[in-house]
Amino acid sequence: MDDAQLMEAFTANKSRELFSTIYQRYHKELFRFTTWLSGDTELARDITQNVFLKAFTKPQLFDSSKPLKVWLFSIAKNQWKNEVRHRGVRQNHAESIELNVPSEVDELDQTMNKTALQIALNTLSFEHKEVVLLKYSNNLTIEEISAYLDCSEGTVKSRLFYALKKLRKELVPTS
Amino acid sequence: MKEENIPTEVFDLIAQKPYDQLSEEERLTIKPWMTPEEYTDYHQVVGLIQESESQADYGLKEQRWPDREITGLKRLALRPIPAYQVAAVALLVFGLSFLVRPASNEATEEKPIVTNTEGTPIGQDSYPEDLVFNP
Repeated sequence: MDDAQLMEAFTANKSRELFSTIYQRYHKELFRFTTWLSGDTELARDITQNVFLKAFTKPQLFDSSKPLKVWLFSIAKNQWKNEVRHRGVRQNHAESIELNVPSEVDELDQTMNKTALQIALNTLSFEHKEVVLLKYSNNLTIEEISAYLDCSEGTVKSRLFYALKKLRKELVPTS
Repeated sequence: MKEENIPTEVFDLIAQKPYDQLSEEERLTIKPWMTPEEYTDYHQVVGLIQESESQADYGLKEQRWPDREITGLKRLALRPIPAYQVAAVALLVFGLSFLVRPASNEATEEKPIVTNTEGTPIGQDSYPEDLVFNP
């Protein structure tokens, strides 16, 4: 059963099993996205939970002309914006990185890479960061990102290319 | 050439293959837009994003879903209460406790049956003889 059929069936009969399938398909991706977006895993959990709660209580708002994934990501973005407004969450992601003390050399490398990446991502504007994460962290297609942002595919490509160039400049010192 | 015209395939290839694994045809697609060195760097950057993702903990638990849509009074009852409202109610209760308290406790206070718990000193001379334990 594809996403559109799943949502149609769920809207009709509110089956918990159907909703569980939707949840299983997208909860990890949504959590990943909101974690990057907010830089705070606890907040990301809350937002992810709220997205599914909204999808559960108001499935009739789903626009079947767009992919389900795009709809869920749009809710997540709105939820995050609301949280920022209500909680006064600062977008200082670098401060919120959870740094555990690494016990092995490999682990240290990974932590340093992740920190460097997070810092590099924070040099991007929100629009550029969002596009690069949707494409390479959440594996959305250019077409899906275009639907999500409600802009042309050309704009998505332009933002993505600029973001890659900026990240290269930040992460590859010799470039 | 404008970046808007970059083929979608280029962005996909960056995530999928290092430069040395690209076919001749793929290299030709990429050539107008970036050098092999740039491609390699972009591939590394994207690899870092994906690698970073695989290390993360996504241990979300499936949580309870409501059986049906919550409406009316139940929705009102389940609404989260802001901290400032809780604090205001606590202050109100504290203030009212002074007003409601009785003016004096004398009327309601129960008199103790024994007022003096200290023993009466009994001297050898005054002790009643009939109470002397002397089997």
